[in-house]
Amino acid sequence: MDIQLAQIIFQIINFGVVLAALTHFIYKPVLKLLNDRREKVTAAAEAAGEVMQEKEDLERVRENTLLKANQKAKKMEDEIKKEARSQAKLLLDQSKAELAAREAKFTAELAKMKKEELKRMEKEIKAAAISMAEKVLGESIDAKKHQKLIDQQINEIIESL
Amino acid sequence: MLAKKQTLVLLALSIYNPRHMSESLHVSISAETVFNFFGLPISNSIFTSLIVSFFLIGFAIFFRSRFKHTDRPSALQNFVEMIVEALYNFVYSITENHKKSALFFPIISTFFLFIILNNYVGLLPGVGPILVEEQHVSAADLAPDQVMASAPVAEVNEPEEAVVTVENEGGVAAELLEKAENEHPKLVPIFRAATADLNTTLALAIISVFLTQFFGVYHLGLAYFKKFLDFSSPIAFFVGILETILEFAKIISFAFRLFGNIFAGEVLLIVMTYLVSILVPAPFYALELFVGFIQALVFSMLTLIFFNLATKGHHEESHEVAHS
Repeated sequence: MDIQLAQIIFQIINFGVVLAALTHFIYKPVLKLLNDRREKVTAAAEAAGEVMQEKEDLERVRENTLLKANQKAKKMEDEIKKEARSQAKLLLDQSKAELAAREAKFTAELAKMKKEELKRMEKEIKAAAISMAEKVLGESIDAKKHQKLIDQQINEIIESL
Repeated sequence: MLAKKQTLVLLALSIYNPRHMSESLHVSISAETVFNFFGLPISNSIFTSLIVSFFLIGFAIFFRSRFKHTDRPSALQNFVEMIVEALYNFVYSITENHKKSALFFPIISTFFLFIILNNYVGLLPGVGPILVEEQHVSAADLAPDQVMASAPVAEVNEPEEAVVTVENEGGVAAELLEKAENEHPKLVPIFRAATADLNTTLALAIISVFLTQFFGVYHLGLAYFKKFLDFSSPIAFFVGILETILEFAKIISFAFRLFGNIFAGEVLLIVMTYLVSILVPAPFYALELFVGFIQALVFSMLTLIFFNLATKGHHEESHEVAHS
């Protein structure tokens, strides 16, 4: 093996020249470009992070607002339901009262009608009885006396009913 | 014009002629001088490394002329950005410090690119088979023991050539060898992967170890030398001596690891191509591509780790080693 100092020195110088050339023409500009690009990407990432944070904040505000709105709506719904229930109860009570009043009125009318009908029937029966008695006896009897007897008899019948 | 055509034909034949290859299988552990430049002998490995260096510098200048500070880079710029970013991330993964990464990155990247390109140049067609006459440095320029040291370890010569082994005593052998070689000029490859030459790998190792010391002093000041000269206890003093030896061992380790792997790979390819020239060498080429990459990575990574360790205090370093 031939170790020559001159060749070693020559190769050291050769390497030094290549190192200087590559550093000046390639490494420096490319590294600067890569650094600039990295900074740009970092800045963009930071801006994106801020936007994301803003978005999250807005999302949180939206959720809070939505929650409040829901709560308010729920409250309103409850109130409306309560109001409706009370209204329904009121209407029901009114209806019941009206119905009861109508029923009472109807019962009174019915009773009145019954009474009238009974009176009419009584009259008719009285008349029929008198008529029959006249036909059977062939003579007229004292109408007032006879009427009194019939009344007495009908009252007994009605009371027995 | 005709002479040019003849030269091209000869060049092609010299690359792809198996007969020629079988007759002159050339394996030399040391680089050979292919020409002299103002008296300076230029070996084939230096010549090849110069070509690689010119390619790298030329590419760098070309890239700079096309470079635009934009977010929509061209294909070339995108490719370079990808490599630079990958290498920077690699450095950062070890240092975990942007300041240190920025300091170490140019050196580590240049080590990686310089080594990997020089490794791969050795695999290109034509690197090896294109032969020229070896240029000799006069024996007077060399020390007597260097004459035998530069002789190839193995050589298959023409049948009529005699293999002569002589003892080098008092420079007589050098004169005889020079005389014999002048009579029969030896053909040597004009190209040789620079990393298959120990001088190149030694130079890279020296740069690596020197810069390790430089960064150590740069970061820790004179306290860096405390790990070499520690008089706090006899054991610490002994450890300091071992640390000093270790720094020199690093040079040898770096240089011989890279040189050994790349040179062995080239020899393997030469032998495989010599034995079976079709298809069989292909897997070995693939293996050498992998080895070339791994060796560049190993050299760069070890250098980076040594840089990083040198910039940390001795206690911090011990703690890190114990932790790992």
